[in-house]
Amino acid sequence: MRPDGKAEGLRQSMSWLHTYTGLLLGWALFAMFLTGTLSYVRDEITAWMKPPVQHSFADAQTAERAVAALRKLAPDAEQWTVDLPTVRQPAVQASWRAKGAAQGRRGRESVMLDAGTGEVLKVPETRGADFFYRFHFEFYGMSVYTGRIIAGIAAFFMLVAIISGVITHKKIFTEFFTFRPRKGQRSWLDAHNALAVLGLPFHFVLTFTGLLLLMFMLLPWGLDAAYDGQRMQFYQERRVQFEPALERPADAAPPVAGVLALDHILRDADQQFGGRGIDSFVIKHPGQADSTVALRPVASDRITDYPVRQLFYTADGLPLPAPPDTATAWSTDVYRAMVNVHIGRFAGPALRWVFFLSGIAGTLMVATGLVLWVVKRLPERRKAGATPFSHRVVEVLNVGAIGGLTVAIGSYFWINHLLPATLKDRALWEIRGFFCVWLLCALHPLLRTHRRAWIEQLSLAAVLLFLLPALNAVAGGLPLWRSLTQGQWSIAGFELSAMAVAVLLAFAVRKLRAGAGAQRQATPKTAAAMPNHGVESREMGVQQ
Amino acid sequence: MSAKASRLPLAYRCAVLSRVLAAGPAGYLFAYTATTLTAHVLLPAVTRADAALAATMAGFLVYAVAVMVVFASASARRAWGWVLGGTLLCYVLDRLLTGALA
Repeated sequence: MRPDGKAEGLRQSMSWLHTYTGLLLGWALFAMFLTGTLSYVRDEITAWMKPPVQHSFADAQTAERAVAALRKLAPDAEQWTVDLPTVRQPAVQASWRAKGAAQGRRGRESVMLDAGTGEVLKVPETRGADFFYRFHFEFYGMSVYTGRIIAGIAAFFMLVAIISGVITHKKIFTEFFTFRPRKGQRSWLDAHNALAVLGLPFHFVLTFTGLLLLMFMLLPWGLDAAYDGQRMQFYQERRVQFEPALERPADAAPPVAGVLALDHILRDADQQFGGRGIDSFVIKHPGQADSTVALRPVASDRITDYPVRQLFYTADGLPLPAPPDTATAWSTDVYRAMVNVHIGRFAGPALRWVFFLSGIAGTLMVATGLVLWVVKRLPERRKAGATPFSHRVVEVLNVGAIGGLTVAIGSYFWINHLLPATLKDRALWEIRGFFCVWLLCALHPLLRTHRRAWIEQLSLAAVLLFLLPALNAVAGGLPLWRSLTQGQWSIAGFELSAMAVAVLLAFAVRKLRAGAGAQRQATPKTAAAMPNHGVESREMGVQQ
Repeated sequence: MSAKASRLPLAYRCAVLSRVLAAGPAGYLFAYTATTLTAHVLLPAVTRADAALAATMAGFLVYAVAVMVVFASASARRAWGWVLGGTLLCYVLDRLLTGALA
């Protein structure tokens, strides 16, 4: 896209496309990438945000205790569901559906139980990391439909930005190993490239699969063509739930009401699941003669599985037929694999770390790309002798979106621990606090020079995150030294990760502080090679 | 806009706008017809759900490639030619196919 209308190569036109698709929705994409990355550790964050949960430790009797608690809490329920503790969160979630209750989530009541005692935990009301999870594809304060359409369009822009970025990048594999530190624009470009190339398969797959999760909303025409306009049939076909036939072998004793061979069922199921562990079980018609138990394993190791294969038993422990393996064509397998990759359904702790770190790399790729837009245009600015309005807008939005969201997330954790546990609409106030902080951070760079705004917001974010373990220790959570010594890894992992991010932010702040001073000492030759730094420090000097 | 950008000729701005329209709304129309055609082509061979899934997944890649073709074309006119030509071709093929099956 040359203004003089002359012909240009594919690479140049793709570079233009990459720059503007990336810039236009870059801020939304940054927020989607960051909150989406946090969704990989959704259970861990939510557990941390509910301090009483942190003190829960599971043992071999946890399942029995949960059932005993449900007998007391909801003796006449239609069904009980027990979500057992996992490595990702230490408490039990016990829920039930009363007889004649509404279908779906509305008819469900639930409590958190201490895995070690079976007591009902007094958990402060919070949306926890579910807020980040929803935000990353629906945003907030708009209808779910509008939010998903915007997220889908942003994801499509990202897909175009990634493909055009790869075409733009001619020496993709040589430059993969190139990093030229302290070279201004070159360094930003190298960082952007390294982060992009390093995680390219991940970024591409995550963007494309994210788009696929929203695809029938954005491009429902394939569905219309295949189903002759009857879209809902597609969803109905997929919603079929398997109900095993209650057939007892002829030689088995007749069922007796009130019998529950839980210990036997759990042991047998655990063996059938190959030691993966049991994630949850559902007891239908508890206490009655036709009571059944359905169990789910912790996570499937087959990435095409959906939903996770279940095991069924009668309450007295006779195995019932499991759903047959349905033969699927390759496209359904591909779709399921893609969806499962996106939500990390099958990821164990090690793989989850890989996903999380790749998500961080993607977040930083978007952030460095946005910063690069500003840095690349500094020579142009020097020539003009003034900061064009559009450059200033991008600068302000960069700090407000990148620094501001980081500060707002840190504040969300603080607000969560500081609000009184019994406050009315507590979860809502947490979210209001989050957005108030973000708004202040979006306004703050208007009043400061670009560099100062970055330094102040990143410093604040670093302090907020670094002190989370201290806050948690005084606000009723499990102190870090105890979560480490007692092996509460979900909590310790969250706090150590927050501290690690804080250290990285502090490092960035130090670089920013040192930046202006160091460039003045640069030799004339290198200064000429990277004029942007010269002008930046001079501008800073004038403005400060 | 920046000092440099404000000196850009109006013709350039129009060319950019023209391509944005060719890539966005017109590209979507192309993706729509291409997805519909793919679903109809697959329908006799696989289940309805598979046809819908495969066609839609491919549809997004078609759309992304169409956007890049629009911006890589030598002129905005040629870009429009590609997108509208592709849309028309898919539409006609789809009509012929559904007509033949009916």
